Amino acid sequence: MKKLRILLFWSLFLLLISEPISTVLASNPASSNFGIEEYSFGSGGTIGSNSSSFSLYGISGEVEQGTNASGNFQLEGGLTNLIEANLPSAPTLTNPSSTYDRLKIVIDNGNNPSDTTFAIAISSDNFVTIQYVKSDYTIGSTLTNADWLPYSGIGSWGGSTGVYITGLQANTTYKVKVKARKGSFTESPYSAVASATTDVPSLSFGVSPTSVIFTNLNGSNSYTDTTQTTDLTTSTNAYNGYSVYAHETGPLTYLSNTIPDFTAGSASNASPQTWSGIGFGYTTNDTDLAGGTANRFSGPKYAPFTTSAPGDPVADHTGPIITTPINNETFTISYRVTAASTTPAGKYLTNIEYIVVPQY
Amino acid sequence: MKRFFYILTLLIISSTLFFLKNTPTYAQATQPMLRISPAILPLQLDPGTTKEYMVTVENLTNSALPVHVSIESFDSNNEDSGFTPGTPSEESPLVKWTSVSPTDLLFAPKEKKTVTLTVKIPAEVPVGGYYEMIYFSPLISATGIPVNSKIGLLLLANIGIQDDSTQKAKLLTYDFNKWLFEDNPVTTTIRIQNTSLNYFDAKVKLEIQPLFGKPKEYPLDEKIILPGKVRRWLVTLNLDKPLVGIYWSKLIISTGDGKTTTVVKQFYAYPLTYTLIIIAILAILLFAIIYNKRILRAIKLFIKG
Repeated sequence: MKKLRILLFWSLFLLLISEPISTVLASNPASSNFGIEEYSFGSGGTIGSNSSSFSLYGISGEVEQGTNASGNFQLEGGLTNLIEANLPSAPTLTNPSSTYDRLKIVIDNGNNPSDTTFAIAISSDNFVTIQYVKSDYTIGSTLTNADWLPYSGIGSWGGSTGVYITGLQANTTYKVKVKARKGSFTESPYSAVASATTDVPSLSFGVSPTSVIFTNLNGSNSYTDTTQTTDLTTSTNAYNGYSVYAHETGPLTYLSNTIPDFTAGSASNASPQTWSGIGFGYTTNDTDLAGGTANRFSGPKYAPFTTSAPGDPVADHTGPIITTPINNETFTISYRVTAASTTPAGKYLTNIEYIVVPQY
Repeated sequence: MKRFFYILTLLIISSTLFFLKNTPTYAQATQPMLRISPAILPLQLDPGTTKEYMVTVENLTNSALPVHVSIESFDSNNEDSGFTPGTPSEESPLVKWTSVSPTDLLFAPKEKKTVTLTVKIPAEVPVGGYYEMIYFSPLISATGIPVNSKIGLLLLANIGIQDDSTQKAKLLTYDFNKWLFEDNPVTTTIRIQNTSLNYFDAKVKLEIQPLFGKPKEYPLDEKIILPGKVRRWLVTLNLDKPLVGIYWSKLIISTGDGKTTTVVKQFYAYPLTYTLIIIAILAILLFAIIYNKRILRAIKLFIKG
């Protein structure tokens, strides 16, 4: 009986003290206005902390921490850490052939990877007004994605060889600077500046001698003279070079008598012929002449002068003139006259004119 | 008598010295006579405006040199050179709007002078491209047949608002002279027309992509195309060997400010003639082997040992 009473007492005692403890452990912090409905403790904020209603994942923005998500929101991985492209050194800007509308630029790669692209800013007023070198190497007022070119390869800035910026004004100093980028948000600042000046297009020309005097034509020389020549001397920095045209005012004439122009074999500037018969004509030593087969006068072959100004091409140097301007280039025009033995004696004259024009 | 000879000798010497002093000696064969700068003058003008431009003319000889200045139209229909010899069918109105001062100059030896070009555009003119040639002619007296010279200054003027359209270059011709090339050179003809109202500098390049191998760029000559005119490029290419397979040729035409037009064409390359010759030889050999018993027996013996 006694043992039973003791057992009953301790059971009641334990029952009494357990109820308040569980009650203390089970109730949530609360005030009259707020209360924490439910909470639990995880292992310090790492993966796996959760209750039936809430989960705590890894800190957002770290690599490989997975995706924070609930029924309504989702948090992705953080931004990739981007690296700015290396700042290129100042480019090289030169005018190696005294050109008037273009300058040569060689940019520096700046030790950037091969897929880095570069943009070039250009200005003639110290960057008060900024223009950009476009993808076709002309200049424009806007910089587009297409104007960011790689250092080398197809459609690039020409690597160590460089490219020519065209469409520039003559006699103007230009400044350029370069920036690099590799993907989005990696644009470097501009490099240091380089400058160069365009030249002025010029053309020089001269003929020597300024008159032609044939020897007396008579039986002892078969009424023929092939010794007279005119040298045509030209200098220019025009990009497309020059052409010289020649014509005469009329056939060789003395009073009402003429020595006809050379016409054997339907000779013409486009189709000069080996000499035969009588007449007055010319040949040129330009072996790369426009207006027909380039070396058509070699032999020599002759053609008559046209009387239509400015005339036929007799000497030229077509472009592009990029690396070296043309300086005192000389071509020789050689004349031939053969008169008929019955030609009346006298001083037969005409006027020969050579016209040089820049090619475009 | 002695006195007579002394006087005669004196006269001969004096006249020789006089003649040598006063006879102009012009540039020798390697020396030009006259220089003009600029030689090409591109202008952007507005209707109703007047502008002046300076041209520097320099006598490069050691003698006095008179020079005459004149303004003339020129024919621009030549697709290769642009400048066509011959009288143009109609005079450019720019000739009437341009004046030169002075028109006649006398240069001392090695002297440099400036000529003023004044271009006065009427208030109402059709906007577009205009062009003319300013000629500088040394005037030299000569015995015998005179050989005269003229230096032309090319003046290109755009009047009005620049045409910024992207389609001002129209491709008229882009043809390879064959569809199958057995060997180099590969030739193509390109003709481009300016359909805008202003002249522009056409930059043209070819990008050849073979079936096997890397693409390669071939920049061509730049040419100024006047409004309405056509320019031609006759291109001869030596491609990397071996010349076999399909080739894609991309023509890129730039009219400035990054504006480009691109057209792609194909051509094929194969040494057809050589292949046919080799096939023919092999066929003959095969025929000879099959139908010649002795050769056949010899081959069998050779194989069997």
